[in-house]
Amino acid sequence: MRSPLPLLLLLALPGPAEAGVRRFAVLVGNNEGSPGMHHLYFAEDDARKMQQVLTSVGSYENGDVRVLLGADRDMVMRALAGVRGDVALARQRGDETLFLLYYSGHADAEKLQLGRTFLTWPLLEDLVSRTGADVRLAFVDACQSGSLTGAKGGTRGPGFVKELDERLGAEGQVVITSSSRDEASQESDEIGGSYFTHFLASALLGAADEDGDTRVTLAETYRYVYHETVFRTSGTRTGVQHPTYAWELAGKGDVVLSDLSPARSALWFPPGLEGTYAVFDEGRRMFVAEVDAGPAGRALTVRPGAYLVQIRRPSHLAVARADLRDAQRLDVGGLRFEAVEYEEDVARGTIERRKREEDLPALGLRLLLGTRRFGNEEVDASYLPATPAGGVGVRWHWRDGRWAAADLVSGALGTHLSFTDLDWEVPVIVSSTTVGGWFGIATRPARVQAGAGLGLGVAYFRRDFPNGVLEAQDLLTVAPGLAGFAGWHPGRLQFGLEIRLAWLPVRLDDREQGLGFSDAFLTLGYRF
Amino acid sequence: MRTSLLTLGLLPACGGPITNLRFEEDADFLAALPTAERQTIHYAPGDTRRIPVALPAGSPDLRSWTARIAADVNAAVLDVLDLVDLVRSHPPTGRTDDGRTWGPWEVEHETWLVVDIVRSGLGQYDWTFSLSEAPGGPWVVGLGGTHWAGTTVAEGDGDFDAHIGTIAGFLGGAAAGEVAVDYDNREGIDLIVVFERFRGEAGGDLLDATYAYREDPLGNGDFQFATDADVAEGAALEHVAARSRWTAGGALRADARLDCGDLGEFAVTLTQCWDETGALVHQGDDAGLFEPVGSTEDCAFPEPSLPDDGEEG
Repeated sequence: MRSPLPLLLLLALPGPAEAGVRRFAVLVGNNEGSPGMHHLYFAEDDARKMQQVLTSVGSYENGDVRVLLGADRDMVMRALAGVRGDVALARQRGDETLFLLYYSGHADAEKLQLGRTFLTWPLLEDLVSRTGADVRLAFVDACQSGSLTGAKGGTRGPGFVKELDERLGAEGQVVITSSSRDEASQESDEIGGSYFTHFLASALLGAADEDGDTRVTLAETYRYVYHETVFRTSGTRTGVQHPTYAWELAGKGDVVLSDLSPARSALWFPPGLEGTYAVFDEGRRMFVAEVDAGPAGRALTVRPGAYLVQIRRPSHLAVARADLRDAQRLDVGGLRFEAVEYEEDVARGTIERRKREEDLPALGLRLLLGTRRFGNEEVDASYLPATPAGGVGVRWHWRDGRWAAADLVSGALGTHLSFTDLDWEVPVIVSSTTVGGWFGIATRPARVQAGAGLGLGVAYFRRDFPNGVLEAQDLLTVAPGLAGFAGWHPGRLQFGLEIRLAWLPVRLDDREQGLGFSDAFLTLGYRF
Repeated sequence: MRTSLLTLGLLPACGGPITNLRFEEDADFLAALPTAERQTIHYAPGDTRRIPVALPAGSPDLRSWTARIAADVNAAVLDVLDLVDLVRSHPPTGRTDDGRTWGPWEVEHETWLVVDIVRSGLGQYDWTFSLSEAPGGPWVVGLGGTHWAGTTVAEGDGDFDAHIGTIAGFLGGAAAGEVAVDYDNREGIDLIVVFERFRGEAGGDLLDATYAYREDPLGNGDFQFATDADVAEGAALEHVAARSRWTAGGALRADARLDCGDLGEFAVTLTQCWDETGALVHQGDDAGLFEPVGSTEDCAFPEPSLPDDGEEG
């Protein structure tokens, strides 16, 4: 029989929903590591998933959760500095404070790898410590993340629970990692995320609520995550993955991580329901949790919406659709399950499609605005004066640095031609339209990016003489060229500068010759 | 795929050409017209570096006198060229393959001007400035000529006649007579300006005179003329034939013969030479009228020379 002491202590501490406790979180997801590291498919999705979990059951205010996707070292440090300020303000008001750092991405034995930048384990721990929160939690889902706990005599295994239960009060720091210092942390195509985060989210949503008190504590969370992660990774090719922990909590009591109060909507897995059920959020196209009802039953607290609840049977998949309304407690035992062939597994198909989409190049729609200039000064003065030009285009960026683009650019200007031998100028309207395709190499996708490439286009030029001095003159020709660009990409917006140099085979007067022309554009893009 | 790329690379430009030949031809037509630079006398350009030197008492200054003559000739020619310059700052109002037209423009009240330049042969341009009291004509030629292109259109030769009286008839004023200019700009400047019964805007006697000017590409010059002028005491006009020759460095020799008029049967031939510093190095005359200075050996041009008989007025 479980000792009643932890439960009593738990009740004595302020729960997450009670006044006077302020919770802050920084959630970092980065699919990219340093050059040579393989691309992660779900690290950023995992961070988003944690955001949903924390704001739905963790009693975190939306404004207190900072989500950093694809962030570099500086962004993480700035976010942690921001938390430090927020904590100080909260403490001035007399609030107790809890800070949670979540990281999903690449790492090695020495550091977190944030794209091309990195953050060493000691510095990360120091930054978390300096937030000043009463309780500081770090969940690190990364390869060899056990290095973070190992330095402090970190332990792997469920013994953590016992030791925590024996602490008095709740003040200090706890670190939980997805693997030990010599292990890889694994993503799963099947669940559409990493094992560790998947079970962490499941735990917080209710799968770990062993005692059915509608509160999931840190101890329950770790125990659930440890068991499920070890169990599910024991059969993988990469090998078993052991979550680890390190604690420095002073005082007495446990920490409540999520509140599954009855007022919230939940899927109820009643006692006696055998097997492990997987819950898939149809709207957000992601696995939510895996739940084993156990002898006491489990409530999985989720947002209202459409869910697929499924359980594996030897010959088929049993799937039920659950439409959950606000504040509804829907009994899964009452759902009507239908047998589905494994090949028709909607959830898996969706995730595979999601992964395929991830492999596709990033598509950006761009507006270009600038100038178009032809040839040398003589050409500019007497044949084709420079014009303003603008256009639209698309550009694809692959993760390995390749890029390709296509665009349509037009320019026109009413101006004058001038000649050295004549004292008067000739009014003219110069216009041009180019359609081109480009490809090349760029730095890997990041906040600042630069690249260069080659292109081939078709160019149409025209001169109209408003006073009828001459008939309109036009020219259609091919235009091979070079392009270079540099851009700043805050989020999905892309600001850039692009220079193009192209060469045109043309006839000027009675001479066949090559004519250079250049485009200089400021670009505004949106990345889909 | 490879074939497609090659095909793209070899694609010729379609349409075109982008051409300014029509405007370059405009410039050629305009280059056939006379200009102040090519159709005026650049008399002894070294003069600007000169420090005036006092001549012996009672001696005439042939150099300064010739410079004034050159300036008067230029002024008359430039008056004509002012009309020509009207078209340079305006694009043609009409273009054909072998011709350009400017106007008609109303240059004065009820005075209309039309300019035609026609390429009438290989390198030959005939041009006229015609005047009328109405935009529809009838047109009277006030100024016209023919230009033959050389290596370039501008570096050619040609002639033109300015009907000063006709022009004055439309534009008003006291000017009268004819001015005929024959030029050759192919190597240096050759210019012959003939005034017939000419009177400028300032009025005065009608003038018949011929001025010949030659400037070689190195800057050496030769200016000769024959005219009637009142250079001796008395009311009658004397006949003056004068020739100035100078080097690019500024040394100059002037020879002048005066006869007729108040001189009666008397005639005198006077020679003056200046070196490159502007000092008078020689003065002499065949009548012993003026104080002799130096020797003819000190002249940049030792041999005397007067205008050819055929060029005397």
